[in-house]
Amino acid sequence: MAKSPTPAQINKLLRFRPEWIKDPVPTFRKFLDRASLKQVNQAKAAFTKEIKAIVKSRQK
Amino acid sequence: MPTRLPIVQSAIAVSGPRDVSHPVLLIGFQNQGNLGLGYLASALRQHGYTVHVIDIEQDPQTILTIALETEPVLIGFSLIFQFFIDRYQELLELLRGHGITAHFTMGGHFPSLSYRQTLDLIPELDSVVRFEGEATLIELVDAIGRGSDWRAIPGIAFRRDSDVIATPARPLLEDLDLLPHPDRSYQPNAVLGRSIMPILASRGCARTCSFCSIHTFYRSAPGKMVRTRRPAEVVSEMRALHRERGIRIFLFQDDDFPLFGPVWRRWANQFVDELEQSELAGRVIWKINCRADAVDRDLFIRMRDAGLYLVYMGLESGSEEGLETLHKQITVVQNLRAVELLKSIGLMWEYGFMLLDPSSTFDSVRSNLRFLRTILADGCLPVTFCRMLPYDGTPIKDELVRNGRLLGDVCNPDYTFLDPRLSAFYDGLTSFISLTGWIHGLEAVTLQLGCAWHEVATMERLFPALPDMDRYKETLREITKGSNDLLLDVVEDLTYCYSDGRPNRWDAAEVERRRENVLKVLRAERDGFILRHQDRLLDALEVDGVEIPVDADDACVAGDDSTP
Repeated sequence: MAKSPTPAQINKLLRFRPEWIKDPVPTFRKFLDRASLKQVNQAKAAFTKEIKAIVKSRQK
Repeated sequence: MPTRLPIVQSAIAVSGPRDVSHPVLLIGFQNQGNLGLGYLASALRQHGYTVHVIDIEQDPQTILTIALETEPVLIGFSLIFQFFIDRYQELLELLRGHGITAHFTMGGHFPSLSYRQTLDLIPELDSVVRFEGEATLIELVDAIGRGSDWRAIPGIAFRRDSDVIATPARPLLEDLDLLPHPDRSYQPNAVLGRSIMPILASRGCARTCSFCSIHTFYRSAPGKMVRTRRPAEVVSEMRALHRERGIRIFLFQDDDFPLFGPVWRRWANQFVDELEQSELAGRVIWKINCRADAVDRDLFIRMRDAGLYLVYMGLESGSEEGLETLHKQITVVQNLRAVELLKSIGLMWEYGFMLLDPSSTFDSVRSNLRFLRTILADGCLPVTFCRMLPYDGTPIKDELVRNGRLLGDVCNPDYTFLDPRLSAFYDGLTSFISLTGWIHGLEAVTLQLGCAWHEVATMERLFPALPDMDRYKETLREITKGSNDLLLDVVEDLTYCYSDGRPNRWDAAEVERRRENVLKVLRAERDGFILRHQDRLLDALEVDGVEIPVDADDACVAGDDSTP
């Protein structure tokens, strides 16, 4: 295996830039696996429910 | 050459001069350039409007500041992917909440086909511009600027009381060459200093894949579904971009590049004729998207010699049942033949592939894995796959609704498999290996290896021959093959864990360590090769007038390098 040169040795124009071929992917795939997303969504729904309950109780 | 007439003229005559004192903001996803927004911007400018194109990826507060400072008459939001709708909703809420009173409209595949849902999900929207938007948007801005009623304009949808009204769809543009060239006032991406731009030769797709909404989008508006530009006009635009912006790599973003059948084959040959007769011959390279059944030896050799360097094909499935469900109207053998042909004539290729779809069984998943092993056996490309997502406007989503199998919501559509063990397999797969690390995301093996192969294709076509290129390619092939074999082995073994209850012989931490090692070895080999040939590569760029940063350290800002 070749020894990795430091980025500073390579001219800016020739640096490795994979970002230009990156396709946007659904947020849940970009940041989370499916199981984690499920947990987040459940937590989000529960949180919203609680907020609504608080708002409702204060309106009384 | 056709005369480029303003595409909306009647409104001027009928309603008097337009008020162009306020600008228009267009906001959308800008990665790889957004030709949809570019065409809208240039069409509006042609009619006298000042237009600011803004990347949705920018900080919302920055977008708000721009909106507050520019006081636009209208803000148009381009929603390409429905899974981003929440992000748009938050932005519109922010803008409205801070007193932006401009007309808010939205366009794109999802808003066009699911306009009721779009207006429900984003209450801040005033309207939706449906289907091809250039003429409709100009009329909409004209009407709002004049303070006249915009609700009769064809091609829009809006709320009236508790109902949603859609005006008759506007016919698709007959002659694409009447459109001005799209706005591209952004810094182009580059590979090894060679600048890249997206371009279009046609609009529309005549195929009827069940997972795709493009044909539904074009069939829902009157007019000819697929329209090609004149080959000479396409080359003229490429020449202008080459001359004025130094563009050397063109990415054709056509849904299906015109190749199939006698008419489009003639079109492709005329396009090559035009390129050969221009100064672009030997100076530019280009990529197309097409179907595997359009790959023809003689035509592709001609196109390769005229600069074609990369062919993207939506192969999608390696099983006949899968191809049938996806309504690809193609066979596995045709897909394999196309891949072999491209390899035999030395063209780089890429592919889209759906490992899982609503018809999947463990047998079809294994067929898909076998297919991937076959086409990638030589390590020519990294493995990529996804799970089919049921987007709005697609026949497959409608079918899932009918069968009661659709799950999730508009941002995160999902479905159950016929065999419930497959759902468990998918959950297990995504828990066991990091799909973000292997397939998706900036640090993914597939993306990084794909980028390295892009660089090879670019060096081979746009730089002088490098002495040990063959050795480097062989090394890349070995890295790619090793990575492919590992990922495919892990996925295949997992299928048996869930179908037959076999124990999992893999250790997740060890798989992850090997994944990281693939990236480490790749970067070391890649950077080593580039460094060995840096002077030669920079010389070639300098000869072509590319400005070379003198001191790499000074030229780079923090975080500008993608080194992990």
